[in-house]
Amino acid sequence: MSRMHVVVTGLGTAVRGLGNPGELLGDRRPGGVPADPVERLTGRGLRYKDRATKLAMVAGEEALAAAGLIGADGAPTVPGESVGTVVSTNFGNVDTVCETVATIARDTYLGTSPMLLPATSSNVVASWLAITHGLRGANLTLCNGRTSGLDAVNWARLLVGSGRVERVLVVGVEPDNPAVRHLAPEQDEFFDGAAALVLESAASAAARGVRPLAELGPYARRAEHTRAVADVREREPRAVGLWCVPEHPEGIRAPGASLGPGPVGGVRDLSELLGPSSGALGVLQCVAGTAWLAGAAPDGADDVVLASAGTGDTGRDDAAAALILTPARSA
Amino acid sequence: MNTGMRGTDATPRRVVVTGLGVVTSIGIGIDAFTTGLREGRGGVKPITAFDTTGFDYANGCEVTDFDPAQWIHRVDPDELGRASQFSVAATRMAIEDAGLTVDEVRARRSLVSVGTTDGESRDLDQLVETGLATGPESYDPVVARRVPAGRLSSGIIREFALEDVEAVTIPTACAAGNYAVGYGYDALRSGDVDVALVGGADALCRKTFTGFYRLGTIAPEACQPFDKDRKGILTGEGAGILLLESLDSALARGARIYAEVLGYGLACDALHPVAPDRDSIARTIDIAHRNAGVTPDQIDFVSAHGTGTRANDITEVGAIRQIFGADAMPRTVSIKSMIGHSMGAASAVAAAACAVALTQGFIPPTVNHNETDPECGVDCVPNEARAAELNIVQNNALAFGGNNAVVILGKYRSAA
Repeated sequence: MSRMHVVVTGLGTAVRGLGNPGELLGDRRPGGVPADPVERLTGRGLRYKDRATKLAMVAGEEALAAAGLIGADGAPTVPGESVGTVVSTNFGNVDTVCETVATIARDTYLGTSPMLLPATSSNVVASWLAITHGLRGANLTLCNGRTSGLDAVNWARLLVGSGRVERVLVVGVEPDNPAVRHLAPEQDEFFDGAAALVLESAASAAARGVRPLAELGPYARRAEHTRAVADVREREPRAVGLWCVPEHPEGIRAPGASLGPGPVGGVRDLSELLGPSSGALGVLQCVAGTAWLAGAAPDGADDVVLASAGTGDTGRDDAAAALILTPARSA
Repeated sequence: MNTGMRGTDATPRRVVVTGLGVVTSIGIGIDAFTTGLREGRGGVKPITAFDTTGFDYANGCEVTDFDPAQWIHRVDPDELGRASQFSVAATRMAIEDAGLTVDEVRARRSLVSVGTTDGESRDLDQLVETGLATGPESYDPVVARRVPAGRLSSGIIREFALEDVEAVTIPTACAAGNYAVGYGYDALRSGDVDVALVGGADALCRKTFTGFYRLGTIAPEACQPFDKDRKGILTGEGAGILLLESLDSALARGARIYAEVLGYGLACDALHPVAPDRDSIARTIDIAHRNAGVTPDQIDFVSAHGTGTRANDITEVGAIRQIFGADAMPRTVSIKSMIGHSMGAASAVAAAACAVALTQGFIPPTVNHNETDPECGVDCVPNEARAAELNIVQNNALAFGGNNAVVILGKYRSAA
């Protein structure tokens, strides 16, 4: 749709043991018993919020603050109408939904709280982000399977490119709780966290005096991983300095990169590092990729970051998506 | 913010509706549905989808004559939850209604975009009940596999073996259908895809019924939007899928054109998780008008969100008045009076109703109407459909979380 240059201007994470987005590039799993990131939240109104909402609020606030879009009071520094919100989550508030269903089955409707009904709505995570920070632009949620995070980043780009908003907060989040574990019995590891980034046009970032950290390159969503990657690589042939791979990447290959235990600047399997992150993965990948471009890439290099999610026909997913991030340039 | 921007390309493509598929409590398929709209049928009946013991009243607009095997051929219907069955069935209807073969759709670059509120929450109802009774180890794995909401879209892709396809499932609750239509409009307009299958689907589930019941917003017997004695919503179910393509494509193949998608607007209240905000709804309408390049005086009727709750109807009408002016209020109707609130499907089904209204020249009625609430003060086309020459109509959708989406449709008239 748009040929507008869309850049990343803020990053945030809410993952146990990760102090900042750059630590997504580390090779070791977070160790010890680190603090729960939702403990950073304070104030009223937390009782009826599900874990996904709380995790998203932590990561979202960090990204908005890093982009200079909110002040110390959490209020936007730009017109709220100019900021949209896109959330990707496959499990989302399933804990609240299951608890509500269980309460009804056990105690009839009299056991439910009217306060909880809003929390059972499938768009609750994006809604609370908007309410918390006064983000009054387009507000939407995706639950698109394993490609969902990259799909969300691309949809945010479309919102900016079509002029519907000037900037978008994108959050990918998945909670780990008993409801999720019951619904994914085949998994023995679970991701519990959120990642967030702020996208805006390069012109908007320049006008606000904010340094772009990375730029969005081509995106494709195809039935096969190979085709999705080939599609974006055809349009962006620069060398891949970092490849963030899908969950269960066994058997897939990307041009110019291969699987294996790679150092920074090689291959990143964030699901292996943090647990299968489902709808959050694409956003986590973009946060890691941006951190690499903004700080860890070799000096003078013009390499790009390839993110791919969903293995498509090659694996057990119904689709695969690929997105390239490039070094930022000025508007 | 340039909310009136109509696209960034020099000559963006025009987008038209050429196929409609609906599953509703007043009719399955666009012909039966249209007849139902014209006759002002009501789909309300006692709920059988779940055990309603203990509720003082439990009526809803349930689809009781749906045979998935009639519409779902390639995929085993039992592998799909009820909402996915609805979305797949409505898609087959839309393809057939558009005069396309599945092979012709498969040969094009396509988008599948389905909105929902509850996904397959009816299956979640069953799983959790099983878990409580006998433990999660007794979960039926077939049912558990049906739960991911992404299957509302991926089920369509599997059934029709679509290959060059973008798929999105949009859980923006009760405005999700309009979100899906809007996304399809953007994808076609920009040339990213050649055909878009967009809409929404939801199945009745106990969780949602109970939630609204607990809030005291379930009507005992009838949904009466804008009526002074309205008592709330009736939960419903179903699906609406619109087949969208470019005007050039439709003309080239001599397709019947129901309507043109002129534009849409999205905005978020960012104020309250449940209570709608008049100013924000008005802002959404204004964004949609600007995006579509229309002015309020051109709107022939508004298909309202119109749930029949006191808060929604007064707030929504207030927003419409804010944009149109007290002396120039458009006819404002709610088909939820007939089919109940089908959640994520609601605005997609309403968009289909708008499209046939434009084509056939009538305004669907607001049934169950006795006396208009003076605080609403709208001509809601009470009880009987009204013949009218229509050019441009507006389809409102509002959701929990303040997610508002407004779509503008216009009658297509050839230049000749």
